[in-house]
Amino acid sequence: MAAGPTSADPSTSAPPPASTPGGGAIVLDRVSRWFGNVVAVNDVSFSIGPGITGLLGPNGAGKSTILNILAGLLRPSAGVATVDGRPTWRDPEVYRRLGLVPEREAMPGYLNGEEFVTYRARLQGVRDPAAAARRALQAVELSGVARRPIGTYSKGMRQRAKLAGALVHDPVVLLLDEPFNGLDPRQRLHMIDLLRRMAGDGRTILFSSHILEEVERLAERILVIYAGRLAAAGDFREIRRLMTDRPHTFTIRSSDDRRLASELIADPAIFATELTDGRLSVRTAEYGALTRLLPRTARAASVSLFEVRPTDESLESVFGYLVGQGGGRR
Amino acid sequence: MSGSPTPATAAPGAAPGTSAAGAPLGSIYDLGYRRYEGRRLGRRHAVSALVRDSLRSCFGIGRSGRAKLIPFGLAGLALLPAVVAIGVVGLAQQLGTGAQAEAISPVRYATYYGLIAQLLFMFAAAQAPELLGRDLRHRVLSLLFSRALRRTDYVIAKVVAVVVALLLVQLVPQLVIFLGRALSSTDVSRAVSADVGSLPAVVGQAALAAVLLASISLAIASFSARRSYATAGIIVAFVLPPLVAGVLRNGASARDAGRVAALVSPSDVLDATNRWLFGLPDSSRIGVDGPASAAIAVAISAIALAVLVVRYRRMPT
Amino acid sequence: MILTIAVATARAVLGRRRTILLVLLAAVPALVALLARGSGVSATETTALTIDLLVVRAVLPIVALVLGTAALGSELEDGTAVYVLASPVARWQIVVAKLLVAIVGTFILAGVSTLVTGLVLATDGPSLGLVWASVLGVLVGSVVYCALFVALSLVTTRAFIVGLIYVLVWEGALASLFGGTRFLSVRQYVVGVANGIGQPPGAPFGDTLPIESALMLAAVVLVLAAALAVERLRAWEVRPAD
Repeated sequence: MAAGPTSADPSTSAPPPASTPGGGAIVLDRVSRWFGNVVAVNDVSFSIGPGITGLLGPNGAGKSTILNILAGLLRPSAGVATVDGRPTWRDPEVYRRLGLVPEREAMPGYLNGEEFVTYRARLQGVRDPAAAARRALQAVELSGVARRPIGTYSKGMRQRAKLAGALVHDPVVLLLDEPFNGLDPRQRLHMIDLLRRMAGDGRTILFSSHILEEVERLAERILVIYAGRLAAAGDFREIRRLMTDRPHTFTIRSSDDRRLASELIADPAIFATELTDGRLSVRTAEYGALTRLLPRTARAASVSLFEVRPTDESLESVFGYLVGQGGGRR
Repeated sequence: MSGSPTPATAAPGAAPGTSAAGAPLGSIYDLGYRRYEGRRLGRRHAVSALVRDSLRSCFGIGRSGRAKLIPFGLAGLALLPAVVAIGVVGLAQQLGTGAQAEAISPVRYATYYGLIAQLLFMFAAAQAPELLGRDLRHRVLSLLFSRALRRTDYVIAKVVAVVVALLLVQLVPQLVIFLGRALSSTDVSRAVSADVGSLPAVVGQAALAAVLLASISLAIASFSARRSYATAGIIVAFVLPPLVAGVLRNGASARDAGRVAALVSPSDVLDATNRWLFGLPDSSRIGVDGPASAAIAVAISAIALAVLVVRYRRMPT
Repeated sequence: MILTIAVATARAVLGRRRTILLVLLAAVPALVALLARGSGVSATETTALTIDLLVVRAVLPIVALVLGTAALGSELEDGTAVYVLASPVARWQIVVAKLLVAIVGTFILAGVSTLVTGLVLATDGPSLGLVWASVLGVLVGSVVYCALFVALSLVTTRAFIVGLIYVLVWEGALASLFGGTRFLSVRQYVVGVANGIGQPPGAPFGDTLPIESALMLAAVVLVLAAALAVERLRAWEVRPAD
């Protein structure tokens, strides 16, 4: 049922969740959700353990729907979403281990930051709500402005306040829906730092985004959603390697690009070379072939290699391929 | 995009890429943003477009089926007595008792307002917020006023739309009664000339009711972007004064206060104008009759309209 | 926990503008009472009439409607309900907290309105007894109306309009046409209780349900509405933003 470039079952290509004593295993088992005639999530299965996982997809692909189902705010039309083995639908107890940072901006504007986080701490039944709130606010670096009404906060501050509210009960799972929305670059770096720290404590973090740089920088694993289907799962470099029917591109700087190019093109494994801007671009269908061929050819031609770099192994190219081809084979 | 694409090639002649005859071999077209260079229709057109659009909103035309439910439902209920009455009289005529049926029918030009008064209130309360609430909620007023439309024009257009809508709701049933009577009588031209005398009264009452209800409901609706709250406010304005008047009237000392309350009660005022216009016996609940009641109706409308205009003039956008 | 949520709800619902308008509305019967004083007719009749027309038919249902639909509905509408729902608080506790705010708010406004109006008009023993009876009736009405409207706000997004139609059409127009609707009309419970307590001479509120039936029906409606609200809250789904 995979919709990726290989026929591998996405759920097996995702690394199994490490069994930590703290738990934090998220499992989606053949989850679908439709609204009338529109299928928003189509038979998605995956399992996630501790660490940071990015849920990547274009707008309308179903990321928010998946997060809402995981958060127990939407009922799956089919399948089951569980956190540590407990289905999330209709189970208020699951919120003791779950922290949710929703996408929608709405926050009670009449409260100030401290009151808001303390309120959430109380709702969670935390033992010392005020202290927990202060800790959470400190973790997101909002302690200074905690006394101001939320209505006066900037967008970045509001995101951080939401995060503080989600952290106040020390949840083992964190779900964030588009956490980088509307943050400026400095705030983004800050958020990335924060999330890395949380993951370092052994939490399971799942965040959704359509901003590739953030996902590339932050996520250890990615799940690519397109049109409600899981298009790929795992480390994105691995996914790239699995896309065998698409040629890889390398950028090479050498002492004699033209000579190298003419030698390389003679080999059937290489099907295109291009000289631009003082660099040599080489395209090959066989990843391994070039790694063997290049040093041999360079040595034989007495060309020194200064730089060899895979050019299209960015998340963007992976994503573009997965999404551009309709998320499936051509 | 309007306008023809502009070829970006050079002029014919010695330019590269052109054939010997000077026609370009290839062109790159500039498909970017273009200004509208056509005729602009100006303020009057803007106002009439707004009136038309608001009138359609009054009946939910151009929106989902659910939006049509309340206005058409209420208008249909307003039509119902007329249709039923005509049907009954027609049936009675078949049975030969036409004249008696006609005589005892409670559905007449004069009584029609009384029958559908509540429906008119509900119509105004439901639809006036529809006209104003959306623009307030989504803050499009700054967009609207940045064009040829003036603020006062906006207000006038909305008022005209609601007035026309209420006129339709009232006059269509009256028309049905008229046609029924004319067509079912043996001497059509005599029936017509007999009824034509009632025309000024019918139209006058409908007009007074339309203007009064439209201005009050729009004035209240302009205060809230939340349509349901506006509806509640309008209903309170229609329903509360008669209740208050009812309570006050009960006691001897408060009878005058009761009269005052009835004076600001749209339903009582319109009852009075109806009686005056149709020359009905006076059961003077508001203590004024005749033309004074119409004057009061006009005065209340004027005040409400003034409130509306001032509110929109002052509204920060 | 219930108290925490109730306090937060009260802060959200009783914003300045809304509260002021409701207080003004609740003041109207009292003002009218000042004008209607000392009329020739019996104090009991005037009191009953004023309270019935102005408070029971107008102030009570409208205040209950505004507070009842706002208690839960405004949070559900603007998306801040997520913060309460994504917590381990039992759903029945949430409903109770919201009901508490709505009922207390409604009873304070409508009850005080009844009390002041009644005290202004009541000049003799029987009519004073009527005032207290009315206040108790209004209490029953506050509880049942609010329960009804809170449940309604979970059933439909247009709870306010539907509630308004219920009050105006069902309890207003239809009730005068069909006697059977008495059993399903909160207003009837209110006047039934008011009529029944203290047995004032005659039936100042007209021909109403006997007090036992009124209380029983009110209790049934309350329980059903609260149960419905809890169940709907358990199965509440976030609305897709797309």
